[in-house]
Amino acid sequence: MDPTLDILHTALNGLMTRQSVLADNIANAATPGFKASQVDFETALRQAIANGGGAPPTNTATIAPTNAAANAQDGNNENLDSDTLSLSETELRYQAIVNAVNGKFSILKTSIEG
Amino acid sequence: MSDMFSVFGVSGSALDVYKTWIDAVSDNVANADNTSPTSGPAFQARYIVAQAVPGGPDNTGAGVQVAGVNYGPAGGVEIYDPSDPQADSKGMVRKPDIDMGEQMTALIIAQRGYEANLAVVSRAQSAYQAALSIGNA
Repeated sequence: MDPTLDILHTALNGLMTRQSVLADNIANAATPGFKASQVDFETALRQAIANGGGAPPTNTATIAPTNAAANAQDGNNENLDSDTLSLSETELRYQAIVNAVNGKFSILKTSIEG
Repeated sequence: MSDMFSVFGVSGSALDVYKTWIDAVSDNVANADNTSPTSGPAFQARYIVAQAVPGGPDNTGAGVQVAGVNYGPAGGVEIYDPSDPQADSKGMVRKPDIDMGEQMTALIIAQRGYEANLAVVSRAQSAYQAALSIGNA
């Protein structure tokens, strides 16, 4: 079987991890000394797809601190605006991928049922 | 793989912290004009100390918690008000040292933070609902 569903699965996992990290960033928007984090799963996923060889790993997400300068005297470097935006984007991309998964399923269903 | 619905726990912890903060600010403002005799302490404003909670599924962070409370100075400020029944022989009473501008700023920050986390909850809910619809095509 082609790895489309596995790739979509990895993307869903990556977006879910990003959503958790963004939620934690926003939860700590006023915590003194808090350092915001960001998630990248696209780079490793793209690499895995480019290398071929079937299914990518189910989780390619890496969490790293953002390099943003502290925007408050208390050392907190969380950017509430950009993270709220990212959260909306993450949710919409999640829904788009769910649609893609469902599309794939409906193709499979058609080919099974004829 | 993340825990199911973990964002609710993270954002819930933040709602809890911001609410505690709003409660403290409203108590500070409510007591800002208290007077007490110079022989005793003044009302001490409460300042909530927030602290990030590490951990969570895949180490994405587990939210925030109230780590403790700092208090304003017990000395407050002494002002001259001989008409106050609590005034000492020199006509002085003690009042809390509360900066109203600082309190109102904190109130706005806490309120905005509360709203931001409420928005996160509704965003997460949409994503989870999408996840639950996988296979419904």
